[in-house]
Amino acid sequence: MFYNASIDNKLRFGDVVKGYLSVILKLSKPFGNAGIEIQTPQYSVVLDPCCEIGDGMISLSPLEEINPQLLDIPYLSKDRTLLNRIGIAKDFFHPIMWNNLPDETKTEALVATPEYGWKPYFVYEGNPVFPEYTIERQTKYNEVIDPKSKLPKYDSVKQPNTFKIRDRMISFKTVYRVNCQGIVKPEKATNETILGSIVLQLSAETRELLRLKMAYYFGKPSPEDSALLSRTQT
Amino acid sequence: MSKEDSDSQKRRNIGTGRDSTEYTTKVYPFEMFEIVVKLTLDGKFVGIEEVRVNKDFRSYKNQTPQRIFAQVDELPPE
Repeated sequence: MFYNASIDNKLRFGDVVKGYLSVILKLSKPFGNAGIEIQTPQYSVVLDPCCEIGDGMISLSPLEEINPQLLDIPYLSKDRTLLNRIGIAKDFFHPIMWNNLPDETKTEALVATPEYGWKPYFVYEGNPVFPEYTIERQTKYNEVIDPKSKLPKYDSVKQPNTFKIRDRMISFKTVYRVNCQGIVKPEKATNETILGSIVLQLSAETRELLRLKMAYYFGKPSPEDSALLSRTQT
Repeated sequence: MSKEDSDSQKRRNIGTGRDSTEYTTKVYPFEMFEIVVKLTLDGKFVGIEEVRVNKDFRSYKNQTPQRIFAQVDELPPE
């Protein structure tokens, strides 16, 4: 179960909410001209840990429609939420990008230990509360084995494909902050207006998936740091 | 603490799992193990309390995302 059947009387990590504007500050360069863009995302997602929500402040990320090109990836074409879990590198590649890889890299992608693909993104399963939208793709990709290299490759067929979906996704790169007096600590009673802004609440299992992927995204060391730190590690 | 008080304290602690003598422990990593050593407050060796496997066995190198996964998140131009 992706969402909880009922909503708690408080805001929680991963909640889908509505009514929270987003302001993006744009700079031509550091200390340069500034512009402000106000966006009104239809839905946003709470990205503060449950016990850190409060003090009149909340971190959100807009819940947006799925990137159409992700639907070209056969592994994700039926279930986009597979992107929320670790998987085999090969399965996360766009077919065109995969076909362009050298054989050595393809082999590496087949044997690498499963990890997260599309690291900044987390997919929210379609739900009747989200409006349905249509994505048109013109090419279908079928996996075959290359007789020469014996490695998988994708054959492309011109075949219009229409997806009618309600799935949405967030990016950990587009987190924004909103100050709103009604946002209080979970142990205090949340006012009716705030409760009314909660559209969907994740199940504990899905919340854990979101927590793990987000922690992975922000917690991964850079290769340079890793090289330095592994030298000092006992 | 007088001897009487000390004996009384020990009696109270019987069956509670508490040790009335104050010790400290220190964890020493040793290869893939962690040795928990029991010491008196002035640092004298008392004994080995526990030998456990160091579960944080992944080095920073292991924790770094594999190179191949860095290439996954790319889309062809449309």
